Amino acid sequence: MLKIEMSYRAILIIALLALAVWLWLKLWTIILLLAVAFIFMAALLPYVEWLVQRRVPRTASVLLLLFAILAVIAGLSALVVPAMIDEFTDLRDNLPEYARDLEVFLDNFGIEVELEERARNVDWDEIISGQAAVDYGQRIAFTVLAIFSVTVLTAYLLVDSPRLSRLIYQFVPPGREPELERFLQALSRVVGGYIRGQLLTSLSIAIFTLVVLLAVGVPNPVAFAVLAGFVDIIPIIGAVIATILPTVAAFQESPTQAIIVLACMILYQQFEDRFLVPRVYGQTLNLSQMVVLIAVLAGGQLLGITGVLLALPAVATGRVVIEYILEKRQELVTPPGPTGEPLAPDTDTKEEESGK
Amino acid sequence: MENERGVGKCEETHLGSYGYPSRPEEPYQFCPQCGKAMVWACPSCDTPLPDDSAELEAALFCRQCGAAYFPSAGVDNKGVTSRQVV
Repeated sequence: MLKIEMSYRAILIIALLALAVWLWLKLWTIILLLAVAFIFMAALLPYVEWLVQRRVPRTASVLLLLFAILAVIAGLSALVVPAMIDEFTDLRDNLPEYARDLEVFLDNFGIEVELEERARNVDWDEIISGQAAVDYGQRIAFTVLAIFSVTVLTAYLLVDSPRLSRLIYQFVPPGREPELERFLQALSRVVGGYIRGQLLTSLSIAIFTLVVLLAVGVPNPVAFAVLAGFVDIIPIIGAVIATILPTVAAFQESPTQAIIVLACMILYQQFEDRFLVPRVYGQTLNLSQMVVLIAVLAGGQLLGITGVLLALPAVATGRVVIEYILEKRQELVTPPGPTGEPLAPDTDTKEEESGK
Repeated sequence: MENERGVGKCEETHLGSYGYPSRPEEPYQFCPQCGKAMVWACPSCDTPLPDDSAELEAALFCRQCGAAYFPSAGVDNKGVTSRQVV
């Protein structure tokens, strides 16, 4: 008969692991919200500290910063949402007409497709049914609740950051604090750098989209520009959405305008990928495209759109942690001497010294 | 204003620090573990001790001037204590 012997320590570790898995399964939504709040804290902490150094009380600094950000987001949403509802209503009412225009346009290139009939057969009642409205309503309610929770958690973390810092440092043995400090700074640089870089790239695509749509004469250019800035946050898929939406809007004017917008947006994506992103992020997110793709797919599979959004900062954070662990392992193999060189064994040194 | 921070050690290689959260604000004179004198900077040129823990533990001499951190312990600048040399 198979007999398994286990130490109390092993049993305790297995029990703790099981508890951790159970807690993760039960509380993953809260853990996720907390992770997002930590990311925002890392991005906003330098600005809070800047205000605190200028004698603004910490709580007031945090509230000021968060209200300013929420006001900007609310203002931009107020620009986008009504315009998008108008665009959707227009698309729903005139879809067969647009389909006919596209048919005629494609016919010029010898491509024959039956689109108008299909457009007439679209069952809008099913798409915008009562159940769909309830589903969308639930999703919107959940999103609003999540934004509120993340804002409150970020505010608490920012206000309590000195206490949090003391708590973390209590677990570090004396003399190792500078290493923890460097590690936390590296994490903050990566996560904060990601958010700041994302803001810059979003701003850039929004301005470019606005200029192109104004030049081409597409309706609601500001709304589409803001939307392009928002969806640019989503890695890989965001670029596609940012291209498709203004192209569809331009197509409602004419196919030629749509082609101009499409070409401009594709050119911009090339500019962003090859020129802007490497310069804005630099070494902050020096990740290969394959790693980004795998991270985004895994994030999407695990946590949906939230996972996609968290994929890049999570991978970049993981890289900092792995680099730190490898550095520590390397130090264990070759502990540095007073001059940074590996130490010679004590006995050999003594013998050599005494021999001279 | 950023507060001053530093790491140090005693002759028995007990490490210490000051200025970090939950640590003393000022450098302290004696090791709380063995009571020997703490060193926070080179006694000769005042260069702070290395802030990498592995290097801090191993360091016996100053990188900048080569002076021993614990001259009273009989450490010469060959990298070993004179007591150890037979």
